[in-house]
Order: sequence, then structure tokens, then C-alpha cells
Amino acid sequence: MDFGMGRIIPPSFTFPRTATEAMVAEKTGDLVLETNQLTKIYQNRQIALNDVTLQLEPGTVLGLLGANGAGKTTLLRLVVGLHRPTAGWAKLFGEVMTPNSADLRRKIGYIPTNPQFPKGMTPITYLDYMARLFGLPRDVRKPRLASLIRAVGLLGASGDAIEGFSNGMSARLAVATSLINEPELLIWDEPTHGLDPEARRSMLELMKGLGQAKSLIVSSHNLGDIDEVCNHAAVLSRGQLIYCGSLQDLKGKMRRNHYEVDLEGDQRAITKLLTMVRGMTEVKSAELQHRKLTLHFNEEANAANGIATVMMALNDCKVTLVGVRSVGQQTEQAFLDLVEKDESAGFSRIYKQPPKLAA
Amino acid sequence: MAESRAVEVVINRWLPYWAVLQADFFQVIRGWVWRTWVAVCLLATACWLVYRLGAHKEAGLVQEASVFLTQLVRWILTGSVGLVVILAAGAISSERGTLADSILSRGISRRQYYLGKFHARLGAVLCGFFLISILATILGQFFLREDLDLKGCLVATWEVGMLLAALVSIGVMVSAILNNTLVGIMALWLAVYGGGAVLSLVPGIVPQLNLVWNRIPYVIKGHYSLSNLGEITVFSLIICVLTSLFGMMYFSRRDV
Repeated sequence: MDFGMGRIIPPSFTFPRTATEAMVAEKTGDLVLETNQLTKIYQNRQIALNDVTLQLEPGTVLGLLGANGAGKTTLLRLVVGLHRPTAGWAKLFGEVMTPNSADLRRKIGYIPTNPQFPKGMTPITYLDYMARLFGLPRDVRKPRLASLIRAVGLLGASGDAIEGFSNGMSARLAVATSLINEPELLIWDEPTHGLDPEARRSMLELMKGLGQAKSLIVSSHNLGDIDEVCNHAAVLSRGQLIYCGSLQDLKGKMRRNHYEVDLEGDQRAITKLLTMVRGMTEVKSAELQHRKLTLHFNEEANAANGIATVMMALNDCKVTLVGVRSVGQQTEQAFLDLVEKDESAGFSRIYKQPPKLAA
Repeated sequence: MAESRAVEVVINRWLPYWAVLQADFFQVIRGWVWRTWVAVCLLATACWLVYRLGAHKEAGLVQEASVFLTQLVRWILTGSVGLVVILAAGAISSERGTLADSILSRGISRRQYYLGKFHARLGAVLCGFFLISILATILGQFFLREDLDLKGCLVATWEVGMLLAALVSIGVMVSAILNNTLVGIMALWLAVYGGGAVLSLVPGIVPQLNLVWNRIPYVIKGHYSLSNLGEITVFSLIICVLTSLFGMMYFSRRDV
């Protein structure tokens, strides 16, 4: 089915009530994940997730963004069937996920936040246990666990007790666990949480590699990770989905008016340049700090024109340009803008259209 | 290589149940609660036997193996049942949270998980109990006055084992319902004592626990009734089936 709108489909799907509508629903059978008005209220006390509708096509690498308590983990747990929705449903590969959907879970590789391991087990016994939980026969699971242990670099510690593992080693074991059943969909809840920079880097590389072959949903606090690994993003704020679409689109939503320019040259020339730049109509403000010029363009100004004018001024003042960059991590800025807008929306949120995906 | 990859993996649908059962059984056996329970029972057996032997050797009092065994079995039921309650009531609730996430997010249904846990705890408790009972029977037979009947001993052991099975079954159900193990233990204690009190008020319908209790010395000597044995077995099985069904259904419908 060609939706012509990228990999994540706008949440236009409604629960089929008539035969015609049911036919429409059947066409969505090739989706990896589909949620409809997914809502979770914990014991009538806390609304963790509110009316989340999204669809995911095969091959998507979706980054799930949101502040603490936004509902990311709740959404993932609902998708995996660890929680039951208060309202709505989640379908995986066209079938509704329930706590007893063992067959559906055989197609998923899940890593929970801070994965815990049973006591007294080694990586070999643990992976064997996990493979048996998927119903894999011995002649399949043994070679698979051996190659996974080798792949994640735990060969030297394969006989050691897991209790003594560092965060990095535990994370690698969790990755191996999530791949033991050769899943079609990977759901990783904050996989880089608590990792040192080196371990985080290798985890990101792994996610990039896996993203080429499998569908992947990654939740993370670290927006840089999402930026690096994902091609699509979903943003949750206080349990509501406020954005769902391509990452490129999300970045497009940010205000492009804040730049930093690294300079080299005579201090007098740089001071002269600063005076010139401050006089430009496109520039709202300009600050100089140790040969780093920080520029804020006006909202209505074209940033490209502004940059070009500044470049000409650089040439006039005989100042050498070392580098120009947009300030702020792009995804982070876009995310913060989105959340800020959502929070300032107040009651108007009720009338807001559901998030759409740009073509 | 490509051809071998294309071969479809045949999933063994009962393997997840068996995996949980096996893992939990060995985890229980390696745990301090089970080991303390077995150690305390073995210690009590040894001390009681030494005391009986001492009375016989020093004072010449005749010590009957049946009395020794009765007292021991009663002690196991009353004295160490607390540890059995802890074992049963912590079966599922102690794993709530991320550890259960790691297991229940795999290819296992909640029903299989529940059954695996229940059967593992049942197996661990009954194995421990039968081990101690057989050891006590052999020791009593060899060191004390031989008034034991083998079949009677087996019947008595079976009867007490059935009561323990019912207790474990209720405990696992409670642990599936409640999130907190301590609350579960309290609830199970209340259920056991409250249930026992209620059952004593309805004579004739269900086997009376106090009668089972008082019958043990005679049963050990061979004066047993197969109908009583059947009653207790059926009663215990009904409790096990009902509590398991309820526990499974409840656990299948709740968040972990």
C-alpha cells in the first residue's frame, strides 16, 4: 500500500465499524505497528498516555522523544503487551497485542529501561533461557547465542556471573537478548542510558547498522542519539503525541535564526566588523566573545541573506572566516520548541488537529 | 548458507513454560528461603532423633518411630509453614518490575508464566518435604522401635503433601494478585487461618483439617482409609485448579 507520505502514516485510521471501513483496515495489515487512540490511566490516578494514534511502516527507525513522565515507556510497554490499554489498541503486524500474544512477541526484540537479569546466571545460561522463552529448539538457539555473544564482545565474560557486569556489559547482553529471536521489530527503551561515551558510541553504531535491516523504535532522553540514528520521530508531551513524522520535518520546525561565526584576524578589524554587523537590518543582535561572533537574525529575515551580508562584511574588514554553524542541537531545539508550543497552547489543545506528517 | 537460513524454525510452544519452570525451580533451590526451610527441618529431625535415642538409651524408655514421625510431620506443618508461605507468596510479586519485563516481553504468554511459576514452587516445596519425610522415616525405622507401616507412611506423607500443595497454590494466586510480597505473605496467612476457621464450621462438606491432623499417628501405623486419602486429594486438587484458574485469569488481565 502506497501512502505516499513517508513511512509513518498520519493518524487518520479509525476503528472499523462498517464493512467498508473494515476493508480499509485490512489494507493496513502490512504495517509493523499501528496504535489507535491508545490511552493508559493508572488506577484512575494518573493519565500516562492520552489518545495516541500512530502507524509505522516496515524499515522505519523511529525515535521516541519526550521529557521524564511524558509516557514513552508506557507507550512501549503497551506495544509489547506488558500493560493493558485503558482505551484504544495497539496492533503489531496487523494483530492486536494482548498480554497473552506470545506469537506476536516472538517478532519483537525488546530492551527495557535498565534491564535486570536473574541472579546466578552467566551470559550463556541467560541467553539460553531467553531463547527458550521464545520456544527456539536447541539446534537453533545454541549456535545463535554463541554468535551473538561473540558479536556483542562478551566472549571473554561468557562464563562469568552477570551480577558482576558493568553497565556497558549489561547493555551489550541486553542487545544480544533482544536479537536472539531474530525479530522483525526492535523496541529499545533508552538503550544508551548509563553508558560511558565509548559504549554509547558503539551502541549508536549498532543501532545504525540494525536500522538498515530492521524496524526500530528507540526511546531516548538524549536527542543527539535520536538525531544520529533515526529517520523518523514521535514526540510525546504529558502523555500526548504532539509530533509524529520524519526527523527532517521536525528539524524544519526549528527557528533558523541563531548562528555562531568563528573568526581570525586583527582585533581592530574584528571590532570594526562587529560595528558593521550590528548596523545590518537583518541582524537582531550580535555579540563578540573571544573571536566568536554570535548572531541573532530577525524572525522575518532570511537567514541565508543575512549570512551572505555578514560574509561580505568579513571580506571588507579583512577578517578571516574559520567557521559558521547553527547554534543549538537541531533536534533538541525543535523538540523544545514543540513542547513549549504545546504547553503554551492551554485549552486550545482540545481543538488541535492530530499531528500530521508533511509529504 | 542462504538455504540454511531460509529453513523455517519450528517453535516449541511449551518450551517457554518449561524454561520458566526449570529456571524458577533452580532459583528457589538456590535461594536462602528454601535452604533455610530444608536445613531447619533436617536439624529438627536430627535433634528430635537424638533426644528420642537418648531417652531410650539412658532411661530405657521405649521410643516408637510412629510417634517420632508424627511429631516431626506436625512440626514441619506448623513450624516451617511460614517459610513455605514466603516461598509461595513471593513467586510472582517478587519479580514484578524490570525482571518480569525481561521475561514477559519474550514469546511467553501470561498463562504459561503463571503455570511455570506455580509448578516450580510446588515442585520445590514438595521435593523438600518428601525428601525430609523419607529421611525421617528411614531414620525412625532404623533407630527407634519399628512400628511403622510403609504404606501408612506413604499415605501420611501424601496427605500432608496435598495440604502443602493447596497452600502453595493459594500462595501463588495471592502473589499474582498483589504487587507487594509482604502484603501477599500477610494475606496468605490470613487466608490460611481464616479459611481453616471457616472450614471447621462446615463439617461434612470438606475434609476437616483437625481430623487429618489427629489421624496422622494411626495412618503411619497402617490404619488408613483410602476414602479419606481420596477426599483430601480431591479437595486439594479442587483448590489447586480453582486458585490456578483464578490466578491465571487475573494475571492475564493485569499490568506488570
